[in-house]
Amino acid sequence: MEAASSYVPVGKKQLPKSRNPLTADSKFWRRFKRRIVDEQKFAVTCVDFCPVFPHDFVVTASTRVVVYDGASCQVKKTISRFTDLAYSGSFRPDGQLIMAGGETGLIQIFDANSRITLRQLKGHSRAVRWVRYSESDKLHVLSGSDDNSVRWWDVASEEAVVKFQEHTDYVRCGSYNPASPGIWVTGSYDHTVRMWDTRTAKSVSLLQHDKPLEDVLFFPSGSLLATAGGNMVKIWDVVAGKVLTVLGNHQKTVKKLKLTTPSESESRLLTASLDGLLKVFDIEDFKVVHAAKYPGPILAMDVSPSCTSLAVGTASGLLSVRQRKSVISEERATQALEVSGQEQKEVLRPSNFRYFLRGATEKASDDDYVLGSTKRALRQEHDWLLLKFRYKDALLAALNTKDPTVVVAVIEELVARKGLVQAFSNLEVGELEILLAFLTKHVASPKYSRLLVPAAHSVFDTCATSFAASQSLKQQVTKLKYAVEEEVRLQESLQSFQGMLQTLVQAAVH
Amino acid sequence: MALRGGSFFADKQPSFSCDGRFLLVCTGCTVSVLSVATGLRVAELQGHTDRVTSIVVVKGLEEAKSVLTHAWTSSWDKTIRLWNFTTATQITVIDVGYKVVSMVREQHETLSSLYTTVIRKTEFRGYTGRVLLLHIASQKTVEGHLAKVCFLRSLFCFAKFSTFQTSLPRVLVASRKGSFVGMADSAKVWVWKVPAPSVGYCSEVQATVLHPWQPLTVMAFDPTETLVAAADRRGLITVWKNVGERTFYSSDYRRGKSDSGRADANDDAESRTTYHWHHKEVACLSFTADGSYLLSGGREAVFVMWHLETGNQRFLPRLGTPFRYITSAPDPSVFVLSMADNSLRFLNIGSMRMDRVIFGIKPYVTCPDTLEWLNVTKVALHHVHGTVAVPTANLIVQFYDVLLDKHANQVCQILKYNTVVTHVAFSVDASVMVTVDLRVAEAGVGGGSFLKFWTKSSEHIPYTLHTSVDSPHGGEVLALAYHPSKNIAVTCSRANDFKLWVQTKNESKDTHNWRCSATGSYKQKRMHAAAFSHDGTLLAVAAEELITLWNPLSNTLVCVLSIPGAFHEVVGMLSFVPKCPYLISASFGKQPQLTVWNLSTLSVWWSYQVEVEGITVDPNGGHFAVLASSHTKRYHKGGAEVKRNGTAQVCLFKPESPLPTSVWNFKDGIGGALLFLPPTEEVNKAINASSSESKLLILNKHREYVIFDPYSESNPKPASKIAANAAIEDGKLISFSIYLSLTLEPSFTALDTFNAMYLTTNTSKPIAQHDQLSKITSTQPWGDLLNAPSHVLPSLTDIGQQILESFLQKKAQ
Repeated sequence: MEAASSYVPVGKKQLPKSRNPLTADSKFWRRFKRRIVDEQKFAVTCVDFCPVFPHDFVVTASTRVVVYDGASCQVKKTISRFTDLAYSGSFRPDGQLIMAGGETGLIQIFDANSRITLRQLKGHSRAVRWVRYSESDKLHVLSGSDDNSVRWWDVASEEAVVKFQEHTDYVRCGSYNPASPGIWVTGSYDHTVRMWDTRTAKSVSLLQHDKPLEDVLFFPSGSLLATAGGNMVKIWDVVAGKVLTVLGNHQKTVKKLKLTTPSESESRLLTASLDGLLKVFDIEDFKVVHAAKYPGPILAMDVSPSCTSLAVGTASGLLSVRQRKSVISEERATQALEVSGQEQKEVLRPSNFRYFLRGATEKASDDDYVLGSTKRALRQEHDWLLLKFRYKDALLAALNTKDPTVVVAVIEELVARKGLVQAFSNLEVGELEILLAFLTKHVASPKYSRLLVPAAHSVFDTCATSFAASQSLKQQVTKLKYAVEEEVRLQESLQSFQGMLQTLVQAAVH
Repeated sequence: MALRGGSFFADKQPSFSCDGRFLLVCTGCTVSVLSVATGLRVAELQGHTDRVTSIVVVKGLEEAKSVLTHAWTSSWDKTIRLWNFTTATQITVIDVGYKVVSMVREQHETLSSLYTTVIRKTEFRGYTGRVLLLHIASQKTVEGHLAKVCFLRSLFCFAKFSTFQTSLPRVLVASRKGSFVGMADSAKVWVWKVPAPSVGYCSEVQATVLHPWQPLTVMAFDPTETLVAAADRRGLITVWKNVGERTFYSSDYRRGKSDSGRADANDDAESRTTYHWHHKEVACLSFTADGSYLLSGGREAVFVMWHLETGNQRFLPRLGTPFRYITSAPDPSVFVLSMADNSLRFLNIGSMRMDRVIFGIKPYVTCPDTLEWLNVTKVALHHVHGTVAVPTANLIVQFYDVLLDKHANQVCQILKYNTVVTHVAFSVDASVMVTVDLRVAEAGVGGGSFLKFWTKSSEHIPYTLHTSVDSPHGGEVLALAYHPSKNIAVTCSRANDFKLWVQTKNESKDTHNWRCSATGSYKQKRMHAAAFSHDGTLLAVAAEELITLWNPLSNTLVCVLSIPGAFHEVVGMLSFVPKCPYLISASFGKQPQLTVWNLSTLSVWWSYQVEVEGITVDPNGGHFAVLASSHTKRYHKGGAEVKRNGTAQVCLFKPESPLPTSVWNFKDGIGGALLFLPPTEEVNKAINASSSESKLLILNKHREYVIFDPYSESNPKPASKIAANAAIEDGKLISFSIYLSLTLEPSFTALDTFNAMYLTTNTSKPIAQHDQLSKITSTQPWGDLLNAPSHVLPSLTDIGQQILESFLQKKAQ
C-alpha cells in the first residue's frame, strides 16, 4: 500500500532503442578491436597473412619486410636486406619461406625463421611490384614487373621458365585460380586482365577493365573474378567473359580486394581504397553490409584465413591491426590457465588472515535455505544531494558524471520538484561554465534537445547577469552560440536537401 | 433503488471512540462510523439535514459505561445532536438557532456546557461568527458571547484550487485535560478557562489573548496545559509557555516581575519559542500524549515530529498529498492523519510507519491554470472487474469499487509530484491499460505528456508498465481512445496531429512492442477528441470545428463532417452509438452544440444548443446519456472558465429522436462525469434491480456518485438520497450529502424546456443540408461561405449568386 514510500533513486534516462539495430554483419565487424596501431616511417605497401596457424603476417614498408606474430601482434623478425624499396612481401603457402620483390627488379626468397637469403631471382629489368608463390606446388613463383613482363620462375634453379610479354604497361597484380592449377590472371596498367596458362607463353583470354588494374582476385569456384581498377570493382564471369556487376561504391582507386569467410555459410568481399574506406560486400547480392573508415589512403589490406585479424596499411605509414574480441579473450584465458597451472594451491591455515574469511563466497546448494539480505538501494551522489534538497549540488554532481542520460534525468527530477530555476540561479561562475560546456555538447542532440533547449533558455534568463563577470564564461556562451548556429545551418541545409529530393520524387512519381 | 457513495473523509476532523475501536468521520450530512480494524463502515448516523461540522465523543467515567458510546455532532442545520453511535440512534436534538461551524465540549466536568462557534448572520461576501457557550442541561446558550469571528469568503478560491488549498475554518480546540478551550483566529489566539457550571454570563469567563506575528491557521494545547502552539501560513510554528498564568491562576504573582524575555508584553505568556521547518502553510498541529513532542503537517506533505526541548525533528516525507488533520487515538502512539487525497492514515509515531491506510475515492486532478482547457478522462470503466479507474495526481490511477464504495487497488509507477494522469483507456479484455500523464513544466522546461502502455501480468498486481513514450507528440495529448477489438490506441495532440499506436509482435524474442504505425492530420487543425466505432472499422477524430472519419486499418481519410453554421466552435467530445449508425458530437464555443449524426446519410440528424459536460453510451445500444448544463459556459480559446456551482441536467436520449426519454436535475453536476455500467449481477444486486439494462453512474465534481437504473419505471419516486454539494462561506468547498428526493425525479420542467428548444431550434430537425446551408449563407458574411468541405457545399450556382450579392452589398455601402 502506498504510505510513506521510500526514495526512488534517479536513474539514467531511458531512451528508446534505435529503430535500425545493427545488422549481424555490423555486429561481427564491430567486434574487431584495435590491437596495434604502428606508425611506420614510410607507406605500408603490402600486408600478407601466413596461411598456417598462428597466422603470422608480413608487412612490407620502405626497404624492410617485417614479420609480426599472429597472436600477440608483436614484431617477430625484421628482414632488411634490400638495397632499395621492397615490394610485395609474402609467405609461401606452408609459411616456411618469405619472398619479396623490389625496386631493383630482384626477387629474393628468405627463410622465415633464420632470415637467410635462399634464392635470388634475377631477370626483371625494372621494379617487381607483385610476386606470388604457386599454391599447387611449392616450387614456382609468378612475378609481375614494371618492365611489362610476367615471369614464371622455377625457384630451385632460379630461372624463368616462361615469360609472358603481352602486357603493354606495368603489371601490378595477379591471382591464382584455385579451381584449376596452372591458370593465373594478371592485371596491368594497360587496362587489361590477361589469363595465362603456365604451360604456354600466350594468354588464354583477355578482359577489358577500362582502368589501370590495381588488384584482381579469383573466387574459390574459379569461374568468378573480381577486378579492381580506378574506383570500380568489376565482377566477371570468366567462362563467358562478361561483366556480372560493377561496384562503384568507392570514391577513389580501389587498391586491394580480399575474400573472407566470417562464417561457414557466407563469404564476404572486402575492398580497400585510397579514399580510406574499407567496405564489406555480401557476395550474394554485392551490397555493402559494413564500412570502416581509416585515417588515410589504404594501400594494403589482408584478413587472416580464420577471419580473426584484419590488417590495414595506409600511405601515411599507419599499420592498423584489429582482432576479434573473442580471440583476445581466449588468448588471455590460455595465458591465465598457464599461470594458474604453475601455481600450487595454497592450503589456508589459521595463521593466514584469509582463513577467517573463507566461505564468504560459498554458493548455496539447492536444498539450502537462503536468508534474504536487505539490499541497500544503490544511490549515486546526486541522489544523496536530492534527498537533502541541495538542488544545485545535485545538478553539479550529475554534470560531473559526464553522462547526458544522468543529467537529463536529474533535470527532469528537479523540474518535478520545481527546483530547476533555483538550481540554475545558485550556480557560481565556475559551475556555470561546466553547465554551459555540457549544453554546448548536447544541446543539438535530438535525444535531449527537447529538454535542453528550454533549459538553455532558462539558464540564459536566470544567469545572464553573471555572464559579464567572467571572460571564460563569455567564451563558453560564444561556443554555445556557435554550436546552435552550426545546428541551425545543418537543419537548413537538410531542409533544402529534402526540398530538392521531394521535387525529384514527385517528378519520378508522375 | 439507487446506490450512493464516494464520500470525502478528510473534510472535517474525525474522532475516535473511547475504546479506540471505532473512528467517527464526517461524511457530508451523515457521520460514518468506521471500524479501525477493518477500515469498513460499521454504521452511519443519519439525521442531520445539512452537513456535519464537528464530532465530540463523550468521554465519561468508567462506571458510566452507557455513555461511552455517545457522541455529539454539530451541523449546519442549526442543531446539535447526541447519538449512540453503536446503535446509530439519535438521543437528543438541541436547536441552537445558528449554523454551527465548530463545537467542543469540556470533558472532565459533568455534562454541562458546550462551546460552539456559530454563524450569527450573513453579510455581503462575508459572515460574522460568534463563539457561544451552551448550557446543555437547560439546552440554552449563556447570555453574551465569548468572541466575535469574521469569516471572509474569498470568492476566487473555488475554481482554481481544489478544496484543501483554501483557508481552514476557525475551529475550537479543547485541551486534553479539559481546563482550557482555545481558538486560533486570523490575528490572535483566544484561550478561555472552562468556567464553573453555574456561570451566568459569558463575560464572566476568564480569557486571555495571544498575539502572533502572522495570520494563524491552527493551534493546539499540550497535555499539561502549559504550552500553546499555533502555526501560520508561512509555516512558522510558535509555542507559548505558561499561557494564562497571570490571568487564570495568581492574579498578582507575576505582576511585580519585569517583563524581560517576553516576546510581547501584552501577552500573558512567559516565553515564546518558534520552530520553522515548513515552507508552506501548516494545516495541523498536535502534541503527543506526554507533551514532549509536537506533531505538524502541512501543504508540502511532510510529517514533522518536533522534540520540544531540543528542537530536533523527525520526518516522514513523500506522503504525496497535503495534510488536513491530525487526530490522536486513545493509544498514545497512534495518530490518524487525514490527507487531502481522501485517505485516513494510521501512523505509529514510535516506528514512524503507517499501520493502516483507509482510502476513499480520490479527488479530481487539478490541471495547472494554463492547461485548464484540457479535456481529461474523468472516469473509465474496467470491463472485467467492474471497478472504475480514476486518474489522479502524482502518477496514480486508482481503481475504485463503486458498488462496495471501497478502494480496490491502485497503479503507481513512482510517486512523482507535479504530474497528473490525464487520460486512461482500457482494451476490451482489460489486459492493456493506456495512460497519458502530464508533467507540469517549470519555467517552460521539462513539461509535456507521456504515453504509457501497461499490461496485466498477474492477478495480484494490477498492471505493470510495458512501454513508455516520452512526448509522443509535439504538444500535449488531448485525447486518447482504444480500439474495441484490436490492440490499437489513438492519441490526439495539441500539435495538430493524431497518432495510431499498434502492438506488434517481435517474432524472434516472442515479445510485444508498441509502435506508432501511422500519423494523420487535417488542414493543420488542432485535434481535440477521438473515438472508435464499436465494430472498429471507423475512427472519428475531431479537428477543431470538423469531424474527420478515418479507416484505422488502412489509415485513410474516409469522410469529413462539418457542423453547419459552426465555424468558431471546437468539437470536444465524440462517441459512437453501438448497433446503430449514429455519431454523437459535442462542441464548445460561443454556441455550444450537441449534435447527432446519421452516418448512413452523413447528415446532421438533430442537434441542441447546450453545453455538454459528458457523454456516455449504453453498451447495449439504443441509448445514450448526456450531462448537460443549460447555462452556457464562458469559453475562450485556450481557457475555459468553469462555473463554480451549478445544476446540470442528465438527459437520456434515443439517438433517433431529439426528445429525451428522461431528464434528471443533478445538483453540482457541472464538472461531473457519467458512465454506463453493464448490468452484471453484482450491479443489479447492489441497487436491488433485476432488469437486464445498463445502469447509470453519475459523479458530481467532488466525486460523490449515485448509481441507478435509468430505464426503471419505479425510478421517478426513489426513496433514495442523491449526493450533492454546496459551497460555503469560509472560502472552501465542502462536500456533503443531503436527501433530495426531488432531484432524482424526472425534471418535467426541464423536459418541457427541451421540448420547447426542440421546437424552436431549427437545426434540431433532420432537414436537408442544402436548405440548411442556403439559410446559413444568407446570414453569414461571405467570408464564411466557403468555409466547409466541398461535399457539403451547395451547388456552385447557388454560391456564386451569394458571393456576387455580397459584393454588391459592399459597393452599395
